[in-house]
Formats: sequence, C-alpha cells, structure tokens
Amino acid sequence: MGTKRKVTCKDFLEQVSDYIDEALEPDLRVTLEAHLAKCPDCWVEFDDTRMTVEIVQHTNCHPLPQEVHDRLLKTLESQWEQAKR
Amino acid sequence: MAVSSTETTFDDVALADQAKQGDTHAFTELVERYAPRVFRVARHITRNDQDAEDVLQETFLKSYSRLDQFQGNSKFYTWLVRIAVNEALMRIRRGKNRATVSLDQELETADGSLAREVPSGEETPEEIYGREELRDYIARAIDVLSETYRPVFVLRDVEGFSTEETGQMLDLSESAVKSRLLRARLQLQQRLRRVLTKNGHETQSNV
Repeated sequence: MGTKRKVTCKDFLEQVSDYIDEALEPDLRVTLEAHLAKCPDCWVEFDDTRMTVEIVQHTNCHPLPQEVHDRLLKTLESQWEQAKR
Repeated sequence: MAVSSTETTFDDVALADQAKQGDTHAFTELVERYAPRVFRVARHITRNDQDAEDVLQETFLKSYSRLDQFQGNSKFYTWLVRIAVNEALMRIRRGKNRATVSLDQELETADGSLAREVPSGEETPEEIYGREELRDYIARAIDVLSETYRPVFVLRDVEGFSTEETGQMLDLSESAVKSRLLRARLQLQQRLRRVLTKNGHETQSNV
C-alpha cells in the first residue's frame, strides 16, 4: 500500500494486526494513524482487537490439571524404570 | 505467559545437558517448568482434554529420547513446543479422517475473507461475567477458530512467540503467519465483542 494514496477502512483493517504489534514501517504507521484519528469505526475495530489480544494474553484458558501432571510424571518414571532393566 | 528469559534459557540448556547424561531429576525439572504451557498449546490446538494429555505425554517422551538433537542454540521451550505442535496437528488431522464434524465448518467463509460470524452462544453478557466464565468463554471462542488460523493464533498471542518463530514451527512464511493472525484476531474480536463492549468502551468513552 503506497503511503500517498487515501487510506480506506478496508486498508486500515488489513493492517490493524501489524499496527497493534508495532510492526509497520514508520511512514505507513503515520498514514494509518491519520485515518484512525478521523474514523471512529476503525478506532473501535482497532481498540476491540487490541483488547482482545490483551485479554487472551492475560487469561490462562487451560491450566494443567493436577491429575494430568501426576500421570505424566508416572509415565516418564515407568519409562525410565523400564530402560534401566 | 512470556517466553523464557535469557537466564532461564541458559538454565534450561544446563538442565538439558544434565538430562542427556541420564539425570532424570534434571529432566523432571524441565517437565515442571514447561508441562503447563505444553498442555495449554496442545489443548488449544486439539480442543480436547484427552488428546491434549496424549500430546503432553508424547511430547515429553519424545523430547527425552531426542535430547541429543537439542543443540542448545534455540530455546528449550521453543524446541519442545515444536514437537508438541507437530503431535497436536497430527492428531487433529487423524481426527478428520475419523470424519468428525468440525465446529469451523459452519462458521468459516469459503474464501477466507474477514469473517463476521458470531457463534450462537446462549449466554448473555451477564452470564459470562466472573473470571471462570470469562475464561471458558474465551476458550470456546478460540476453539471455534478454524484449523488454519488457530495454531498461528495460539503460538503468537497465547504463547507469545515471534512471527518468525511461529513461521518456523508451522512451516509457514512470515507473511502467511501475519495474514492468518490478522484474520484470527478479527474473528475472535467479533466473538468477544459483547464482553469488550461492556468492559471496554464505556471506559474508553470517558477518556
């Protein structure tokens, strides 16, 4: 995407992930930010996506159950016992 | 959920070296450190507790028997997760052969466009408050991501691997990782919007 041409909402949405990750070239970032400043719809998309990533990063959806942990150690120990014989 | 620090990485290499010499206590220490994260990756990718446990066991059994292949120039956790991801993907592909019906089939657009579907959950926002409920809601929202997007999303946003590391683990180009991550994030954002709207924009609008 050239930095000179007008940025559409679709253009912004295609870049929103890299924008959140701060992985954009500075020129492109400035262009997108100019669009963001005057487009409330894109601001909501950006903010929701950013929050989604943050929430996921701070939520451990699948903690290791104690019994699964214990069975893993048991399996490894029995494997090591067998190897000794 | 950050990936190991440099100090831990060095320590991991030392533990792996000791384990190579047959020190099972050193290997057990690595298990204690990483089993929770390996289980989480496996559970997110397989979407199934039993498969996740099988992947967990297989990952540690294989990694122990292949310790000689661990060179120490990558993080131990990265090496471990690569084994786990391969196991998990193999399992879900095998699952497909058993003709299981995927949740994704009805939700994914054929052209991979920025899907806007929201799963028809029966929950109202009031019902999903509370930490555990929110956690389960997020877990289900991730479960519904397609097999194409889910592993990328899990490695990048849940486990915090870089685009490059994720690409290496999944055998994808960096641009493919970025494109899948974008779509995964947007789909998830749509699914979590009811929660976000309640929690987020009310605050933002006051700024």
